[in-house]
Amino acid sequence: MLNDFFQPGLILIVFGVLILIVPKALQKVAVLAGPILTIFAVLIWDKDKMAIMFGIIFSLISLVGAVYNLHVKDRFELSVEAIYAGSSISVVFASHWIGMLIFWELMAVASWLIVVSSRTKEASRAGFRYLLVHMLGGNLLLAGIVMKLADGQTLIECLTGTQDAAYWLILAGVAVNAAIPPLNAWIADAYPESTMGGTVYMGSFTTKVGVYCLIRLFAGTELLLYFGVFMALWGAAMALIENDFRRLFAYHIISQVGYMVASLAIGGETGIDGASAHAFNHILYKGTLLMCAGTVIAATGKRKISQLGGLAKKMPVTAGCFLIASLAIAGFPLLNGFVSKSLIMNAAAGGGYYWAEILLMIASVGTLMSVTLKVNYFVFFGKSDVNIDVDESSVPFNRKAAMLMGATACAVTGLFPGLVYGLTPYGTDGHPFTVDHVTQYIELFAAATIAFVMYIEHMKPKEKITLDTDWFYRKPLKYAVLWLSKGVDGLRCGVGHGLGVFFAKANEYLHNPRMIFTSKPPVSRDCLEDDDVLQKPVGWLVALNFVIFLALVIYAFIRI
Amino acid sequence: MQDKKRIYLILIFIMAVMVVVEILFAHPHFDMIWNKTPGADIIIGFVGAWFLILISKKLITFLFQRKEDYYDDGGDENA
Repeated sequence: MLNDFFQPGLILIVFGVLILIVPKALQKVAVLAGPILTIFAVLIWDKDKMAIMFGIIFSLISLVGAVYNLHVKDRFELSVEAIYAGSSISVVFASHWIGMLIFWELMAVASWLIVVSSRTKEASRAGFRYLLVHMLGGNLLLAGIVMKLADGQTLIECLTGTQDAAYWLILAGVAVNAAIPPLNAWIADAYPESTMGGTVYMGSFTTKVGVYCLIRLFAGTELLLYFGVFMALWGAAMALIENDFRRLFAYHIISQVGYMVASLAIGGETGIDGASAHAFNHILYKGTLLMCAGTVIAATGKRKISQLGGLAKKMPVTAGCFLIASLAIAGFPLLNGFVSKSLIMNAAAGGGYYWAEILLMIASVGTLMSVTLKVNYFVFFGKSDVNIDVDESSVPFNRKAAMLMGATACAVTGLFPGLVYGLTPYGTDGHPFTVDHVTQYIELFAAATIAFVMYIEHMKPKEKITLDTDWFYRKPLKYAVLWLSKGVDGLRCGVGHGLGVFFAKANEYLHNPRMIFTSKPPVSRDCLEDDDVLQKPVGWLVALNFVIFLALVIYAFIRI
Repeated sequence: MQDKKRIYLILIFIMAVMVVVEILFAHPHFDMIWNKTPGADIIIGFVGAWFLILISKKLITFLFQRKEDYYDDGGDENA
């Protein structure tokens, strides 16, 4: 059990706390030292290949994120980001249910704090909804884990096929983190409201920890295949119509996680390797995309694609890194997405899931259109009617460095697929650079680009929002609660008012008992000086209390 | 318009090259019709893209898009 605490993730958590207390001069040291030491610890740690692979990519992206945030003065944000990264790594390295649960909850709290660290009103509201959903997920997980512990199972074990109550509860809890619909609304709701660096961290950890746990616990569960394919298509479709820059990427995370979920649902060596490799690559390219998006939003002050445009000449480094990462996410050959998508396609085709293979190819087309074509055209390279006054020299050097690190990693892992394949649990070779794979993707993308260009006038996003499953607790449930509380409150006020009227009337008579017999008008309360009025010697409430008390005492004496 | 035509020409050229390469050099790993037929991916890409655009731009926006202030109500201070 101690092993679950003294593991590489703890280093980042400790440094996260240190960031809050070290003197200002050492702050940057603490921010960078945490991830660097964690990387070393992960590399020498003794655990199975999948845990090490996720540990490596998590600690790498926390280093890139630390570089991205190096100029940030808000210690609170830096600290919770480090604690968040550390607790994610801790979940990966946990071998007991209790260890996983504790760090899972710590992850939820830390990520909520990251959402609210931007300190805007929207962030606090979105953060509140985020917290509610994640606490629900945590409780479902807790319920399932408690059942496992009651059964005497303390070590984490694969649950595929068990299908008892604990299985469904744990699946639901993990599904919240993996953003499996209908439990997905939190991701598009909260991610755009955080700080620029915060979203980079969040996009890299919560969902991937969910994917890791799904691989560990539910690999080969065919039910997840349907969810995964749906996510892959639906996430890309929602991204295609989204206007908010970072919300687009949040929906797209759902799409990419859908690939991972589908791949692990197919199971087997190729499926598990595909999901792990795709998670690894996704963190690299999605991290780079979110960093570029954050840089653009911070530099221009605008977060809507409809208000951006023509930024390629003004922000060349950002545009270049974005271009590379957006090609990688679509699965362009020579970049890393192609490497892991090949594995997933092989898994689908090899497992006989032909419908999934076709649908995932269409989802790749969706990715190309919603990220690579749409954003690059409308934000960076296309003709634009908005003229934004922005200059890349206002972007801090560390941010440029971080984006370049991300883009380079995408290229390197794409050119040398053996690097990623070597890290995967079973080392399956996806044979990406075979003629049929390369021609397949280039044909697919060329044809899709023609369709996109044909309809390009329609592709510009409108200034609207798209409803998601959170509609249920943001509209009907909210109004139901408000209506109920208004009803109860109205009842209370009504009864109170009625009683008040009654007692006011009764008071008149109690002040002037003779009124019952005569028709003398009621006297005002100042009648204490007036000897003509019969006053009661004591207030009626006191009298009532006394009478009741006397009655109770008599009753008690009689009974005992 | 001219730009569009140029883009189409470039893309069609690329696709043609790819189909030729596929016919000459490709050894498909799997046996379904879309794996073996050269140029099948062009159809999948175009039709898939077309359907995605249709469903997202027409169906999803029609059903689920709202004004930006849909969730805001005046005086709601408690999330």
